[in-house]
Amino acid sequence: MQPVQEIFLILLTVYIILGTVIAMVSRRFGVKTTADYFVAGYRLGGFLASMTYAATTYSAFMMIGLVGLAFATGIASLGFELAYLMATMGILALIGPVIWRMARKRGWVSPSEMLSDLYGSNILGIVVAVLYLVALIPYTAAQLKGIGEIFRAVSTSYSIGIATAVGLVLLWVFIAGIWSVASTDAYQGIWMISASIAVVVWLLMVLVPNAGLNASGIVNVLGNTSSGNLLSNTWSPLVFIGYTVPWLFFALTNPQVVQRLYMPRDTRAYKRMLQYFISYGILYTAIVIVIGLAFRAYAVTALDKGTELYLIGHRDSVTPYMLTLANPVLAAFVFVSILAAAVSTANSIVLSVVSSITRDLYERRRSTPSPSVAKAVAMTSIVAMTIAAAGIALAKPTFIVELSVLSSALLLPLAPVILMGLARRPSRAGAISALAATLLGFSMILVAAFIIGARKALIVAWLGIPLPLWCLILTTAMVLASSVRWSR
Amino acid sequence: MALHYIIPFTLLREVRGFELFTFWTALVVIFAIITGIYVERR
Repeated sequence: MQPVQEIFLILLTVYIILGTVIAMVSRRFGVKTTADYFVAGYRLGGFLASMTYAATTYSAFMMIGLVGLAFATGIASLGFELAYLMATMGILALIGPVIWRMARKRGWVSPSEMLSDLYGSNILGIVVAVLYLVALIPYTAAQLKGIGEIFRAVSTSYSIGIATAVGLVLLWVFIAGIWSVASTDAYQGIWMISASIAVVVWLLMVLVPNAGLNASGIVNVLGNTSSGNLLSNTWSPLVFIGYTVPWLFFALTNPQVVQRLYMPRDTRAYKRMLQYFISYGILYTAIVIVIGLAFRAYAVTALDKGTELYLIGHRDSVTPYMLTLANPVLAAFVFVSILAAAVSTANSIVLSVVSSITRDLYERRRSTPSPSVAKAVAMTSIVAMTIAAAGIALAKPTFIVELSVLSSALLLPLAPVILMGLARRPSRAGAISALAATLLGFSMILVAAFIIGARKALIVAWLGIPLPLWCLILTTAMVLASSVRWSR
Repeated sequence: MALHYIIPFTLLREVRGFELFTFWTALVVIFAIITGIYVERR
């Protein structure tokens, strides 16, 4: 067994034991109702709320997907990710407090329940719960794929990585629901940021200087690569808009992060959640992009052309390959941090989707719902969703970035629906229009993804406008048209 | 979208010494400070 394998297995064992202990301890907070299980009884403090928001948002997408994207396509990937962060700041500052206040007042547990309540339509809640289940399978699969890539890099099997990820997600979700997820998120979020700082320090202080490059050397090399000048515009407007539009509304359309807006215990905790998350987001994004770009400069200078081209074509392998050049202790530490990022996002997604299924398909449809049946529905959904995501991860249909953005594109029609629901009290006609807009937008992206693949579905254009933007324009028009009719 | 694509790639691309990394990072830091102050005072 190689040193990196041995250290990885030791750290992985430590990580699993620590996470399980934290999850077990978190049970003492009490899980008596579904509100306790899914939204921590609206009692999370600012630090825990911010760390669970950050760990849920930042996933294998960052240290594997975004590092690879920056390596292959350059600085435009920073604009893409920072556009998300700016949009999220705006949403959390302006719309988040409204959602937080209404969630406590009306007792919302799931994001689909929020829509159901805003529009006074049970059917809308049920449809959205099912759409969450379908739409977030690619995003969950992206996390499992990230873990599979790590296991492959340490010379273990890709499929063993997927199986380990599935086991961890199920274990921590089953132990104590959101309390264990939020507690383990805080611990995983700290591990993720520490590991990324360690990598960037190693890269800039050891690896890149060993190739004879300093800061100006990196800039010079990146200006003249086989992919063009990676410090200038390498993305066409079509690609930039196609990828960025679904990402701009991530904080509003993805249930796992919307649900986190319900959880802070008071306004002070909400403010701290936002401020800590912003600081975390800027730091983590900048580090990840610097890693991708600096390693590309190293690859151009010190690796053979064939390896560089292979990594450009297999960008999810960039980080695992880079870490094979590091000290085994650092490599193992970072591998486990990526696993932590992927697990923390996957279990949050699963828990959030299952809360929608349980609330909207069972509890809210019964006058006296049975806790044991609700639990059985939740557990069955958790297992079904995790297994479906594992199947896709094993099939490896595309890169992590594309799988992740595809999920947000499928949920994009919910952006105007949620905004309109919060802004006005929609009538029955409004609910029908919201339902039609949601189904139309979702179907457009889903059909395109099946026919031409996830990546092309994001950039295929008609009249020069990429499909995700068409989806947003059409669904917004439908929701607005219906709104004009209510006011008459 | 204007701040992230149209301005940097159309208006600023000819500016001497212009670096996208600096532009975007400065933009987001300023936005973060404004958001932090806004939320604190709200």
